[in-house]
Amino acid sequence: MVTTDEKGPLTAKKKSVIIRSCDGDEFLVSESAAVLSTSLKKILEEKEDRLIHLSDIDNKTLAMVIAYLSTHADDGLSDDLKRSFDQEFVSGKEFDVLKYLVLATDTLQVTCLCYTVAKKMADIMKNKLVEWVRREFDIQNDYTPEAEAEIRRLDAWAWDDRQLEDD
Amino acid sequence: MDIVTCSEQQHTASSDSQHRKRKRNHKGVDDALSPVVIDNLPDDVLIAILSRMSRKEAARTSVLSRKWRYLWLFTSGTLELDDKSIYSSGTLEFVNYKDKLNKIDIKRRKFIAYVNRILELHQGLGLDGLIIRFAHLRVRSLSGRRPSYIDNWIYFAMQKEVKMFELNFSMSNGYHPYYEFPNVDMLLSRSNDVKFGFGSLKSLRLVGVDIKDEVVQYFLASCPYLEQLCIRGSYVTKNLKVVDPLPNLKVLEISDCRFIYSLEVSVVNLVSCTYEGRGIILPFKEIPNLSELTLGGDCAQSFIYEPYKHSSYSFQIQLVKLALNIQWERFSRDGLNGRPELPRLYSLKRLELNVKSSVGRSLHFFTSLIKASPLLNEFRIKNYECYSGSLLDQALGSFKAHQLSLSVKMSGYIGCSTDKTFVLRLLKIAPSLETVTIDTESEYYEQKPWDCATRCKEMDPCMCSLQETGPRTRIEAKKRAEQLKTSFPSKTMLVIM
Repeated sequence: MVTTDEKGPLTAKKKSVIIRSCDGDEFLVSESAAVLSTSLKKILEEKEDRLIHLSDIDNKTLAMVIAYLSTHADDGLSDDLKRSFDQEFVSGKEFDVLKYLVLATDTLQVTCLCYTVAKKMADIMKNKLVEWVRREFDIQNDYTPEAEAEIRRLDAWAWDDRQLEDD
Repeated sequence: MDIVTCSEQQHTASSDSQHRKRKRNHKGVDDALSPVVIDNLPDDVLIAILSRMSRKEAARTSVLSRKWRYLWLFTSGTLELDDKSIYSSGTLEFVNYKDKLNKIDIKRRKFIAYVNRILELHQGLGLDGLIIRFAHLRVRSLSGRRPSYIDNWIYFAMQKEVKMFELNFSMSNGYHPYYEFPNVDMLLSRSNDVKFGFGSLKSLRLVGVDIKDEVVQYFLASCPYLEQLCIRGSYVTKNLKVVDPLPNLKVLEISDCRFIYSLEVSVVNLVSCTYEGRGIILPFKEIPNLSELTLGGDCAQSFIYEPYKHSSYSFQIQLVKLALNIQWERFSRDGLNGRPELPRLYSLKRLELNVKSSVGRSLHFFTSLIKASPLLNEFRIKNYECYSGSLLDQALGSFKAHQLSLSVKMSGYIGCSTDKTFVLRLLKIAPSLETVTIDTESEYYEQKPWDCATRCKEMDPCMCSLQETGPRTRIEAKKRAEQLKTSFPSKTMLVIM
């Protein structure tokens, strides 16, 4: 049993924290994984809390983030393995899932995961027709047709060269 | 969004198993949160996504809705504008030379308008760095007027107090653009309350921009955080002094300043220095921390043939990496005779030679460099032309003398018979080689010298008609390199690229 008042580099490694999702589920996470999140690190530095409640991250998303943190905190894995884990982590995930993930990484300030997820979202959006993006991501077009044409004209350089996809 | 910590329910870990789920209550349902539409994401998250797209792709999101109108402009701390993006879009077809000039002119004006527009939209936003690369700038206008739009770009960078600023007017056609960087009075005369805004500059790179010595001195004196300074291809640079106090300056490049007369460098913290161009007496004084030196042009020649002129610094400095960029045609053969020994480079570990030479010229000169460097463990040679056995044979003698366990990298290998001879001799002379890397990338396949050779035979025989015909594709060159493997001893690794 590790108690919270033990300090020092040896015990700090084995320390764990409990993170609770907004659904009420609790996850046991090693401190070395938790501190990869800048927000969690700050909390752990300020207080001796071993239970952290995240009021707006759901079970599914939190489980994914924690899997990511634990993998990246594992000193036994090479950087190459971690990189391929990152690739696998985002591949095949729906845009909806990525949205919750990117929100969670923003809240928890996990910069490297935020980059990975944002990159994946950018890859999904790029080379797509404006109409496709609006439809897929539920964006209301509040321009008048004239205003939209004017913007396209001003930034004509961005439109001149490629075939955009609509699927 | 809040993170709430529940101190009243403090738990201590009782198990080593990680992220083990423990159901505490049953009210948790996966879709408990309201659905997130993309517009509900905070702006900084949207900007993070836009930052991962190309500038063009990000710019196209401006038509999605009003919310998205300017989001893409916040994407990066550094604004990088390159006229290559304008030229790469669509092929430039023209019927004749005049038509070509016209079309280039249209693209040129398009790029200027584009830069002006982006800068205009950035008014009011923070900016860390500004890079403008303009390879199709018009060479000196007939009216002799200054292109005021470039002055405006510089002024913009100053207003933004950027940390990194680069203007690259290195022309695609090799001409000099004759644009002169505004003098300080001009920068400060825009309005009454203007102050010199480059005070937080960390990196300044000017390529193909004429900048007067006094303006450089003003920058050096007014930018205490400057870490990197590069002035390449400034035709008005004459007598330059880069001397302390410059507490942060680590990387310095002064190159291709055609009319430079003197250069004095005395910077205690300088780590890397590049000088290419006229063979002026190199002027290093206090540079105790310099570990990387790149020399090119006449100066590189002087380093080899007149080492005593350079001994004042080559003796002292703890040089780890030395790169020489050499145009071999300009070397005189006479210089080879009666050449004095080089001073020892006791700390040199890596030597790079980038040689532009025509076939038949000897690379003998660099044996003296290898001899002078007892600790050398990496040697790279990049030849832009076909390797010729005779050049490299002589060079190899020095390997024997040293019995170095060197890593050798040859770039521009195309697999002529002379290439093959070179490698086989290399193995014979230096059996303790650890790795030999052969890089087959070369301009050779594109230049198609065999075509030229056929044509030239009919007229006067030139260099290329004497040249042996190499393989016509890189794949073929790789195959030829592959065949060498059988000749390699088991402890030497062959890497083919």
